Amino acid sequence: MSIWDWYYVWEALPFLYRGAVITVQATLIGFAIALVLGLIFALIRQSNNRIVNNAMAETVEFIRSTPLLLQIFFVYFVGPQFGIVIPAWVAGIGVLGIHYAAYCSEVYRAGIEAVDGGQWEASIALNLSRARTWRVIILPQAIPPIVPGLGNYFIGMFKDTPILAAIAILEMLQQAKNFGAENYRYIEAITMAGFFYLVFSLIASVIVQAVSYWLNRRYHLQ
Amino acid sequence: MSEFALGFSVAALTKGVLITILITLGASLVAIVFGLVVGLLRVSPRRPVRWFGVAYIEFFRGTSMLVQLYWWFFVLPIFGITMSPWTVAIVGVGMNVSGYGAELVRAAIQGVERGQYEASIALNFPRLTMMRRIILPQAIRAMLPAWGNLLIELLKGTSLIFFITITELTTAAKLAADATGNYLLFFAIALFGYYFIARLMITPLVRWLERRLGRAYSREALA
Amino acid sequence: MSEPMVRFENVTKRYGSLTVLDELNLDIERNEKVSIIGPSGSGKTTVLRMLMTLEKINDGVIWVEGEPMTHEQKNGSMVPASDRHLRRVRGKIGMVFQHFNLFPHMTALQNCIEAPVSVLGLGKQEAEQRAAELLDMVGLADKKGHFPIQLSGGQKQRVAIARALAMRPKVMLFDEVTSALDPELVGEVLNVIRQLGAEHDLTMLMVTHQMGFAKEFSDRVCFFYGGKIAEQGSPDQLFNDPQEERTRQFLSAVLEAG
Repeated sequence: MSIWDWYYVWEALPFLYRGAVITVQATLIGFAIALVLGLIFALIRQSNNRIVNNAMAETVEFIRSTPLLLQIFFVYFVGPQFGIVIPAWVAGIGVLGIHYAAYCSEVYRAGIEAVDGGQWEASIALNLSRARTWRVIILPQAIPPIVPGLGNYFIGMFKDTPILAAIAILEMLQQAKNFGAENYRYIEAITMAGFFYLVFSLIASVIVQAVSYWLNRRYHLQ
Repeated sequence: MSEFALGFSVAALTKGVLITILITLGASLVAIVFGLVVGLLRVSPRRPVRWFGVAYIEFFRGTSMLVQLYWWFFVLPIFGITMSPWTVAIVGVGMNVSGYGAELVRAAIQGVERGQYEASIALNFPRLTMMRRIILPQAIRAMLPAWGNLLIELLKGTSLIFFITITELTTAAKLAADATGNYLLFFAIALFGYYFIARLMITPLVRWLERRLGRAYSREALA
Repeated sequence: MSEPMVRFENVTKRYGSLTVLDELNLDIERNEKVSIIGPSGSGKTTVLRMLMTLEKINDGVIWVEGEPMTHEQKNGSMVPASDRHLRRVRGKIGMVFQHFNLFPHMTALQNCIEAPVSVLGLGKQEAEQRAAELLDMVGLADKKGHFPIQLSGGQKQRVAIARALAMRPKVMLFDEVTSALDPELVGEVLNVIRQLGAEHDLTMLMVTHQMGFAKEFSDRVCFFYGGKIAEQGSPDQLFNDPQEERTRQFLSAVLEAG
């Protein structure tokens, strides 16, 4: 028996493909949630109300200090205890999104705080409403520079999707592992899964750079 | 909830916490040592050495931690290397995090002001002495806060050991919850367990180190 | 002993297509004090940085005490210097920087003993004693245990001078050492340099914007323009009777600015 057998590579491909579709879907939906929710978290943190501000900060801190796996368990299993059944998909991707929203909110916050204070003063002097100041003055300046930071979490989330296997979502790595268990051959399937994560990370970082470049030009920040 | 189940669960959780702390300590040691060494290789003046550093960092950061754990656990035995789950946990989690750590080390070393390198050349330091006495002490101080965050990521990463059969905190909570049916209680306890390890052990330790190493940089501390 | 302390022979330095120094020829005699003046971008700082081996040169040879620094003899031909050769010749040269570059994690005294101990191999006690003497000389005997953040700019620069002297260089390079200082602190640093020139056998090469000091202190002043020495001579001649139009323009602009 050779160490690396191409036969198993071809055999494993359909499994991996099915898993990869789930993995990519979970990442895209999860990250969309993280982007929107993260921004909301960040805006709440800018509140002038000390209590709201601190509560948000503590919540973000808590989410960031506890494992994603345990958070997924919490949401998926605690609901049924009280008669609320949440589908694995919703629980898994929802928690993925919330977990990374906490990280993204810190990135947004850094971007918002980096905008020159004079921009707020100028907006007040021009009598712009608060909402409009956020939308057309502050955020267009705050977000383009932080795209690389957000992009890192996009890639990070992708690499965290295997955790979904714990609540029986058959993403790519679980498919690879199942294939390995069925055939008593782990090396090809798991190595290929690892390879795919690496390739995706590299491609994603190129895309993130392109988006960053485009946004910065679009808003003339470079 | 029966008393037996409760007693069993409390014992399991306590053991889970201890195992999580032990693996976190062991993996941190691996991550710090490998991160420091590879970070230094990454800034070596020799190109092949530097490339090795790049490959190491990209490999461990680019492939998922769980993939790496499976690799250690399921694939390596094919080559006749069988490691105990404990070894896999400590080495697997530690090596994965060391990729991120090496990148922190690289960034901190390259972030030391150019003038420090120039003064070292002007004073004729050999490269190793310059690194050891001048550059690293400054770089280490600069990278400490980032290491604090990274070690919390490491702590969270140890929960993935769930998948390779060690009953650490997450697994213990799951077992206790399954046994008693009280998911809210045990998962909440476990969540706070992690939170306290992160905020009452890791963060204060790193802050203390920051203060110690940062003494020379603060007028107030010197006064 | 007629050979110069330092000789630049047809030295050229380019950054990409930009030529910063164009076939520089310059001899500096033993114990000579030479000031380099000129507009920014004229290549004057590059002269010091090349001599300190902080910049590689593209062409030509730099000699120190009759020995090639940038090159070494190997099988009868000149090849670019190895690291070992560089380190040996570099020991003759010390440098003080515009932005001090003190080691922030070390006290003034530690700054001055680190290199003597780990590079020259001096015993700790001997190094400490010598460092203390030097700090005393620059007027900072009472600041030995202070960290850089606790010192004023002028004090930092004086520690930097002591640190460079602790390596017993034969040539001292001063790169705009007062440019980063508040005006009222310039004097204390210049006084130390003045004293150094009077009491020690040192070849000194300084890039400076302090025309008054250059005039009073130097044996020779070189005016750099566009990567070349446009004019050089005694301070008296260069400042009072410049021959070149560019020198006159530069001097009148500088003097007007005050």
